[in-house]
Amino acid sequence: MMEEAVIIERVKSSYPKAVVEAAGEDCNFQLFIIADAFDGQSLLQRQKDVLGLFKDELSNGSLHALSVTAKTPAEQEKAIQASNVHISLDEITV
Amino acid sequence: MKTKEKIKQQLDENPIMLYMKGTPKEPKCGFSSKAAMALNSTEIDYAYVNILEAPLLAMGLKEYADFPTFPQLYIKGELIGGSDIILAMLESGELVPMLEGAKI
Repeated sequence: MMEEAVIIERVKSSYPKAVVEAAGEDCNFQLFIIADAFDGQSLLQRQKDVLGLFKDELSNGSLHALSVTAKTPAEQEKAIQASNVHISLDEITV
Repeated sequence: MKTKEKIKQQLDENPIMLYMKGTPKEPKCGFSSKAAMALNSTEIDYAYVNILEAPLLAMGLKEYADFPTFPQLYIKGELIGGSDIILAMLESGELVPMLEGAKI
């Protein structure tokens, strides 16, 4: 199984200014990424880009599956307002 | 028949198609289970293929869709996405109209 730190590191190398959190393992491994780079991108395109970073591991099975929540800072802010639960950007918990 | 043609044929014949790990009744992965449950909750019929029993098809789909994981939901032959997107669309209310517009 791929190390969580390695996964986060790889995301950060492509999204340097992003907030990246990870949780779970194996079949419910989840990535939360908040990055400006997603602005103007469809959900599907965001997923393709992020999952594309792990194409080899996903095909050779060292990474079983990956859930990706990819938002822009504005979308995250809106989600926070909507859920009126005040989570600051760096304390995202699952 | 080449894998690519088989995929096209399956998608032509099934306007709502879920390629998943396991079956809706016995999903073999959390993400496939969430996707199937989301679709079940709409009570709209959908076709599914257990890609664990069709490894060649699974490889072909990853290339065809340029999407490396399963489940994969197709509506009218177009990749909608995996469980994250299916759940997001169910929550936002986009999923049901799309399924309604596609069902036979």
